Amino acid sequence: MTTPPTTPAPKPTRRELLGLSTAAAGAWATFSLQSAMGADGQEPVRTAVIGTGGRGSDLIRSLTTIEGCDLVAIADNYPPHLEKAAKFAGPQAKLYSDYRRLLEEVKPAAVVVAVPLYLHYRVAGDAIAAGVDVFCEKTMCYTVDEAQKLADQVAAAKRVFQVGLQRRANPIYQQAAAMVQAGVLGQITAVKAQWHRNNNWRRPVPVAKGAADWSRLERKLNWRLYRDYSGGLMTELGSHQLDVVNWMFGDIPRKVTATGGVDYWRDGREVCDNVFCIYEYELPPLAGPRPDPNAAAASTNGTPESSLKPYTVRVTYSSLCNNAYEGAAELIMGTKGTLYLTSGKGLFYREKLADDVGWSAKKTADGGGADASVVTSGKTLKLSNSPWAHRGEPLEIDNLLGDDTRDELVSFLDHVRRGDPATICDAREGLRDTATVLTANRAIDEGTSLAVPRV
Amino acid sequence: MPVVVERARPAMGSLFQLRLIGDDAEHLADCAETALDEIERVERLLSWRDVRSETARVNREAATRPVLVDFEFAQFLATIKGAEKATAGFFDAAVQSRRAIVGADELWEIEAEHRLVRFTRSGVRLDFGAVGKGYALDCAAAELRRFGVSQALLDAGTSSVLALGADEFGNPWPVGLRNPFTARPELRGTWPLELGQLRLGDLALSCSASHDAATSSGAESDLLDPATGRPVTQASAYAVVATNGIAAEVLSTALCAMGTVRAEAYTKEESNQLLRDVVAIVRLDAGDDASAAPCVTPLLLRRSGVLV
Repeated sequence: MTTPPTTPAPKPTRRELLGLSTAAAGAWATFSLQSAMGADGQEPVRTAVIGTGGRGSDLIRSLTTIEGCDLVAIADNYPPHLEKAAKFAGPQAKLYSDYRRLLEEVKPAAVVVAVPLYLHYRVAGDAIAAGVDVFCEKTMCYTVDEAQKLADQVAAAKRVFQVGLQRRANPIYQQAAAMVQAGVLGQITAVKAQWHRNNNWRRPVPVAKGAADWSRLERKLNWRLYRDYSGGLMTELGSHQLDVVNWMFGDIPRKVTATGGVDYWRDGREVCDNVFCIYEYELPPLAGPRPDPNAAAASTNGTPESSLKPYTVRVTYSSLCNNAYEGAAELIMGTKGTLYLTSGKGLFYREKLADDVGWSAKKTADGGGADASVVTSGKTLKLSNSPWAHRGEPLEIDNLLGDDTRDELVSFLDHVRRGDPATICDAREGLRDTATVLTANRAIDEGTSLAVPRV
Repeated sequence: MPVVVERARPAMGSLFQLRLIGDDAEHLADCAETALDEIERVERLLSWRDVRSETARVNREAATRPVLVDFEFAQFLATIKGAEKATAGFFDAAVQSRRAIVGADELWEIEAEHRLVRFTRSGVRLDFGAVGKGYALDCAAAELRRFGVSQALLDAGTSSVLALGADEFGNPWPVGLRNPFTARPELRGTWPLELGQLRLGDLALSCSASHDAATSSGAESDLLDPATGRPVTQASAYAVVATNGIAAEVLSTALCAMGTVRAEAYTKEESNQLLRDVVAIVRLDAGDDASAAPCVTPLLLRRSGVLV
């Protein structure tokens, strides 16, 4: 009798230790968090947050729950936001009104940038220049030009950079992307996405309207509504959803036709309160990796050229501030099925196809299988012609993991630790997303269709 | 004439309704939306049903290792643990686990200094359903104050209310106490719907009933007895007015679980930390037939004018 060879227990990955996987947690009952040391005894990642408004505070709260993250400092030039965020950040975090002083004095290993859009380039660029890894909220930059420069700067500096497009960290979207890639939906032919809400998208200003400071504070706190600071609905909401499309298609659109305006909330805002876009993507005939250009010559023998020609997929996108009926969702439509995606739930509906004939249902074990068909005299069964009646029960895709904002930060810090620039949404992806949404804004302004720059 | 702005949004399985008083309708509307956003944030933090919540993360992981939580949640958990102690366990955030787990005292621990939560065994589930609305109201009120709103009524469905300042007539906000047992068939039509009125200014109110219209005719109570994990059997209802929503919610729930005799004795405990936040405790008595009318019995009244 031979003793079976003993296999050493697999070493847990840092992903598991950082909390991405709970499956291995049982083995780590004795793992002490109190040392505040990072996973596998490494120094914790010294992290700072720049911009501590609403989103910045959410990110701070998430960071303070991640083992191996040492939140060393936060910065904001608006004292009420800084004071409020200080409570979420904890007493160990130093407070700064000037982010450049923070970078200089604290020398964090990583910063999370959650300032208004028009400052992304400046703050993220300064951080990269200071040798710091950066997590930058979406949209990556205020202009395509800035995004291009920042992506180049990140590449040259070889820093870890991640854009806060957290659907990439969401298990529902990851599952959906895998389904699209595997061809479960057949050939993708259309996408319909929207973010519809019914509110004025304003934040309260803490001084009365007549006060001398009102106008300054209104523009500072409601920066999303003013064109000097924001790209409005496209950069604040659309960027998430068009990134989903870019990600799943592995490409950016060629062209966009868009229109929008300030038609309901006429309260002095400068950005549209409703936008409608049609994007045109060019995809290879089946969803999946784009065909290898070197293989094209070989495949001409026998394959009709038309079947290799890229085809156009049109993506409609709208965002409203005065009707919330459809909420925020993406509908990815393919010849074999439809994916309905939201952050909390995914649904997959199989298409009823003409060749989906239910012959087998008529065949029975007791010899009925011998008949080509079986009829029953009497009234004909009445079925609705409406396609809605035949969608069947959807396959449900649930989020079983947790919060995608926390998970995207866990992933980012893991990449920082490992010095791995291949984050779930790197600067190049951020640049593509920026070009996608900003070209729509330009098309709205110019009242025309525009080519999306090939970035 | 002051401006009144009303906004409502479903959250935590209830409809939150806000009534704000001030002089700038646009500002009040912005503040109301911000307060409702804050309520949504608290729901995202506390709801065990939402896999994305911190509660769900703790429930998933805390039996196998200590879970690091953020500063706010650690503070909240420490408050809840304090409330469990101050009510001798009659308020129990892990009460849902008690049916299966017999004989274990502490099911969960919070080490506030290190922000670590751990369960003492598997099978524990924290559920803040009994206090969530009160905490959400506290947080929403803090947001309103931050933006200079000093008069508002925040109503979380039919059981929890927080009043800021005075109503549009300059009086404390009047809140009616409806008889929770009115739907009992034998009493229907006999007694008035409203048993009394509270006048609230900068105070929170929570009502709990072990048995209500739906459950009084035989169905089980949805309130559980922490000793057994089984539904409370004795019908009782309490309204608690306190300086904060959490204290009001904790006490109204715990009193129902205690049963009437123990509850009455509890309200007399002089050194009880939790009772210091309380302004009034009233018991709502169902009445049993035509000779015993349903009524409101004050068990603790620290401020005159609160109960009318």
